[in-house]
Amino acid sequence: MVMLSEHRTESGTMILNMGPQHPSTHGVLRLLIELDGETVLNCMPDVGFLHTGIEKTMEARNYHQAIVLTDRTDYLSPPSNNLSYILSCEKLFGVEKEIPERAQIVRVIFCELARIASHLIWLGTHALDLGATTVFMYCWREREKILSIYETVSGVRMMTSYFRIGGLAADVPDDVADMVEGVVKDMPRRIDDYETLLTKNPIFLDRTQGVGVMSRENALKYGLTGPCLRGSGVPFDIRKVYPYSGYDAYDFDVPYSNEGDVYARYMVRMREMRESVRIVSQAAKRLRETKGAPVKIDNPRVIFPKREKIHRSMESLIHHFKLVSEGPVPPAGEAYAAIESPRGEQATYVFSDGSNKPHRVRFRAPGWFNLQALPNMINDGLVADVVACIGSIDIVLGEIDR
Amino acid sequence: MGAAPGQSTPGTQTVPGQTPQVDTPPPQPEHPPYVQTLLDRFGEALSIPKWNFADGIPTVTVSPEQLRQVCLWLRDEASPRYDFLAELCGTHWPAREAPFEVTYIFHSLERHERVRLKCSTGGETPALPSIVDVWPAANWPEREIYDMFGVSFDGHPDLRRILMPNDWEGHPLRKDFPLGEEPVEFYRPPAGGPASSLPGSELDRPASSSAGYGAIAPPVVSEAAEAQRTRE
Repeated sequence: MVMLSEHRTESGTMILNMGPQHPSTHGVLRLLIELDGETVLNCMPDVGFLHTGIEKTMEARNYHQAIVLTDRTDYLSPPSNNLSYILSCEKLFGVEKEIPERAQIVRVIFCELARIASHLIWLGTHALDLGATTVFMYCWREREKILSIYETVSGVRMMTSYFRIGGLAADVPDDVADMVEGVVKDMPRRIDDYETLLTKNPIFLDRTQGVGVMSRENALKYGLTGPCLRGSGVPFDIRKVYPYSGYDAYDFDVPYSNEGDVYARYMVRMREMRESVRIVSQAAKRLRETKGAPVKIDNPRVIFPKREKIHRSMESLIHHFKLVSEGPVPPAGEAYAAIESPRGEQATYVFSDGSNKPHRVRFRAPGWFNLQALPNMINDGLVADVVACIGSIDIVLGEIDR
Repeated sequence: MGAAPGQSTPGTQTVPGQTPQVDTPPPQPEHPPYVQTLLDRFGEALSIPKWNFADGIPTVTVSPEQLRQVCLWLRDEASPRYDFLAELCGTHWPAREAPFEVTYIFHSLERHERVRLKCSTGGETPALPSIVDVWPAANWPEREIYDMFGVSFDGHPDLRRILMPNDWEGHPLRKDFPLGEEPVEFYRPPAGGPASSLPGSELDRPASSSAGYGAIAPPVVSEAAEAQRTRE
């Protein structure tokens, strides 16, 4: 961290300290901005205020216990974090090809709903930063419906921790298919409403078009992923490139835009929400078709046996006891599993030394790489555009600081 | 175990939930042609590690001296070009000769292929060459590895701590750094009378004895209860 004693430099420029508590930094991000009048000469992000040592804590938990910690990184889309960790562990255990179809369908539904919910928060707060207060309330209204689905399924509105190594914690209740279809039916109309408020709004266009431009080359150099990279003309999406959880069975497009400015990233995310709705509607149909199918693998080395079996069979009781007391134990090795989270390539890299606790867990947070490019985005821009740029990156400090 | 060959060893393999003993790592997949090109080009600086890479990304170990040349080659000359740094992270393996292992994963957008480089360092002052000028994306991850593991990167433009405070001592993700914890403080109601279960009610109660919060109070037994007990 850098401490400031002088706010005015010898060359006559001013250093402005923005944050860590500032509504538009979406968390606790501190920016040191060097200004010449209203022009931003340089900008230095200062992160770490939300560092809670999640990676270190996970080394002291067994593989099963560590699932709840993953929710707390990117707290706007907890199912995505769960999934990347779970996929990584499943690779280590060598069971990634055995996951039942129904479990994969539910995972896809959860992750796509998380994408919609996360983009809704982004849209509301981004518009709020730019002075459009109306959208904010509407976005939270729709997000609430998605959180109700989370609650019905997992009992928790936000930190679901619902996926398990080898499947799901339990099957979804019967009324979930109806709830999901309700959201699918409702969302396209709602997205139209948001677009009426923003897409052709002259004030919004003035604040976003041509602002915070990232060229294709710079976006690649700085390791941007997700909507930030796709807004710069690179249609790179992990769901298409390295399909996981059966994403190759769904019909969807990867929206991208060539302009590379704040508006391009806005358009990409708006179209992504529509694509997510498409995926969820296909998945909801398959959810009805697979009613009653198993949601976890039958492998007592990895996941709990069924409750009825524990009551009747001694072996299952021992498995259950071992899994609770010791936890699942993978062979030594390492596995990197990447998924497309709402913010980009979200990956978990698990190193195992053959014991019952991970040797090291590393989160490849998309925001960690995306935020690095902020100075490149806003240098030589206006100070008012800083909030537009931060909003367009869609940072979540929980995953950046971990 | 002194078991004769062919004889089963009960107690090691048949106990349910027992750790599967990994004596030999599973066979590595044949490395794809582009890794072979890399091996041919750099020869002895590179090697294929014997380790279980469960994700199937082809992996190459590179010596710190050759790291920058390999990175530049991957970016500018390899076919396909590896134009994207997907991941850069550190690990601490205290038992190894060079305990700090840094992992790079490169991605080629042309053909969507990935390759992973591993580079290890150790000693009193572990250090590796920086690749920030090759990939600006490596800036913060290298600072993070410096912060968390104490591996310095020669040639990094701005090598400072990034997540921990400047005056922090030690490197938290090293294995010899203890996981801190705070003891839980249990609340004990003040002595003198049964405590109300309503929230905040203890604030209204006058201090009836000198025993403060946290002191162990003797059990309070009313005379009526005592009489009841003796009658029984």
